[in-house]
Amino acid sequence: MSPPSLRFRDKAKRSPIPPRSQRRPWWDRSRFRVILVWLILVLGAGGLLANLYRLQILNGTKLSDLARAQQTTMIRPYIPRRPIVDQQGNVLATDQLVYELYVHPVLFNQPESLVAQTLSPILGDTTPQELLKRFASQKSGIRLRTNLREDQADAIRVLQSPSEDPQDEGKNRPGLNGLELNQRYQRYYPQGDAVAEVLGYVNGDHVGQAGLEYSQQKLLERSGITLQVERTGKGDLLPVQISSDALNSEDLSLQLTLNLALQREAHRILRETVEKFKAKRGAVIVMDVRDGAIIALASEPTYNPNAYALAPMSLFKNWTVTDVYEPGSTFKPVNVALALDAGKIKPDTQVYDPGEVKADRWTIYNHDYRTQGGHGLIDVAKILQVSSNVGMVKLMRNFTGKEFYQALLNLGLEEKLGIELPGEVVGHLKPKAVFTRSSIEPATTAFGQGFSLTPMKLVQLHAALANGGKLVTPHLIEGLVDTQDYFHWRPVLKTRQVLKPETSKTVMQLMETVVDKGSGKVSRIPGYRIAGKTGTAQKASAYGGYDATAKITSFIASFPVDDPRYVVLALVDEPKGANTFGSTVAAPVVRSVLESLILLEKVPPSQPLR
Amino acid sequence: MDPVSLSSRTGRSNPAPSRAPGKVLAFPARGSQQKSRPRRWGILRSQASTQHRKPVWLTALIFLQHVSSVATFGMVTASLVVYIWTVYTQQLWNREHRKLVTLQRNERQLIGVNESLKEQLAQQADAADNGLVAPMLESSLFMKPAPGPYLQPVPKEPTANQVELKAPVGY
Repeated sequence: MSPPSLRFRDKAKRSPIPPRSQRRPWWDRSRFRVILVWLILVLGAGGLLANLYRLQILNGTKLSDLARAQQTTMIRPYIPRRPIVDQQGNVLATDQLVYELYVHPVLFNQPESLVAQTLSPILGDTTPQELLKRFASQKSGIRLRTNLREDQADAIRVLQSPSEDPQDEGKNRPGLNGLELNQRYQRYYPQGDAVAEVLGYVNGDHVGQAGLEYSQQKLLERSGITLQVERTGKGDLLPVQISSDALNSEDLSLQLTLNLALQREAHRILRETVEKFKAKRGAVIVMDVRDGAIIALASEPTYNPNAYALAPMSLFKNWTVTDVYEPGSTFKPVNVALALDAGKIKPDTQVYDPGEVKADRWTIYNHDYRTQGGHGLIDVAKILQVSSNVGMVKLMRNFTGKEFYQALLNLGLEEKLGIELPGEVVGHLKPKAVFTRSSIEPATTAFGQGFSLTPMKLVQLHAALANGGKLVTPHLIEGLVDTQDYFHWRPVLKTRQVLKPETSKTVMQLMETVVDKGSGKVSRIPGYRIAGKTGTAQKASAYGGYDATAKITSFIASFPVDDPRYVVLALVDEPKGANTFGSTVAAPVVRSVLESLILLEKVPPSQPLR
Repeated sequence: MDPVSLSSRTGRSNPAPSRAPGKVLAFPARGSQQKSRPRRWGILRSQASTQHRKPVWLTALIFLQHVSSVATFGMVTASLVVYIWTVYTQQLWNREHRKLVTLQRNERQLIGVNESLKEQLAQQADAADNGLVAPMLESSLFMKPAPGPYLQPVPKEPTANQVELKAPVGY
């Protein structure tokens, strides 16, 4: 004990130190107790400082990495490819979420048999024994499934997280390691094969490979993003770094001009006909003549885009725009319109049809020359009704070769339509020098052979005959629409006047006689004024000249004549059997399609039924 | 006995000598407490009057201390409020996000089921043996619409875009 003189001097005066025998023991003195408490506190603080040093400096980087790993997570907001809908809003193509399941047996923390037992009912189609066999094949990275539904993925996530199983008498089941789920988008086409020729399909990487999915990739695709965000302890996200438009929700879909019900009907009718005549292929096109909107576009054979891998690659193109053909008699009304428009003929112009005519060194016959011989003196309407080749040749002889060629070019026969389907090709005319040199070329062109165009081009030309002479752009896309039916984008379409409106009216009336009295009688519908033309064209053979047996039958109709709204084309390529003509094969198809069209679009009759 | 400063005395007492420097000490004689009280108080009062003028810097400091206490209290309250608000908005965001995810999932399932049903119905309708007959033109009626004023449909407006938050929400 230090001498009192060093400390409280006054205390020494007031309270002298008692003798040693009267002092308290050293461990009971108040000063010692103070020092003891101080020592304990200092040691405690020192321990804390040491721990702080250990945590912050020695283990600092390791612990902060651990924290970051726990706190940050990646989220992939749901940004699907835009859905495709039809005119009524029926969904034609949409994205679904599917999951890939990877299994890593080396990471299992439960016995493999138990894992197989719990997985088997979730997967639904694999026994536990088969699963055990798969587990034995590799140590890790076994891809068990690629197409798990969302509810199956949920069940697996439940397995992965630890839980308290109330049935296990309060025992905790630890989370199952070794299962890995990868989310991906899968395109689903709910309408099966009804719209495949228009939609196309997407491949495994979600990139369009055919049809509109391919050509409209930019409109449909939305860039997916992965955001790195921080998490709280409870698992909630800290939305600090998530910008306001990162989640990118929107409700736009690509609306087509198609009518799904009519499309299905057209497919059904076409499929029946193609099967009945064992034809190579067929097509039905229904277009609105006023603006070029395609209401139905069916082609057979077709495929199911949900299972595109099973289909031959030749089906992935839409042959109504990728293949050309010689139109034959369905082109005759177009020629008549050109002649009327140029003032070269009048509706009552008559020509003498002996059944055959000479052009250059060839002879051209009517298709019914052997049975009918000639038709005598006939007017333009009769030429169309009996589909007289000779009559057409003589009518078009009012043009010079150059004038005729120019008129054909003016129709855009060698120009692209601008339709949204991929792979569009242009028609072929003979070069101008060849066309004008001899009289055979204008002669064959007069009845629709010797040049080629796509079926869609023919539809566009007939629409011009029906709508007052305007070439409209055939199109499938209405625009990008949201759920309130507001269009955020619409395509800009060009139209071009190529004929006079009076010409169009006259030609419609002439074509109406074909349906009333001529080869198109099959497609008559009581109460409706329909204008049409049959076509039975020989196909060019690969070895030059024409194939005697292969023909392409077609029928094209516009209606109603008093106020034209729709044009319907039916093509059946290489029907087999006797008596296969446009009137017997294609015209019935058009009639059935017209009936469905009238019912679906509620077209009122032109005249009261008799 | 402890030294005691004169200014904290309340009245009676112990006339002990003060140790604080600079203070004038008053030592009334012992035994004369009763009589000398008024005198002591008088001396006290005169001492107080000489000490009444505090230095300006001290007054200013004390004033500053009061102001800063009030400000600190205000700021602590404000920061608590802001903290509570940020936590609340985060909770709100997470709740809405969960709702969004659930809704998107419901939409996917609904569309999938709905459209598959349509396809199935179409397939069934095509099957020959179900007693369904395609609608036929011969059995349809067309009637002229009744004359009179028609109600015009209200023109549609675009869906509102998501509310644009210009600044991120959070700390």
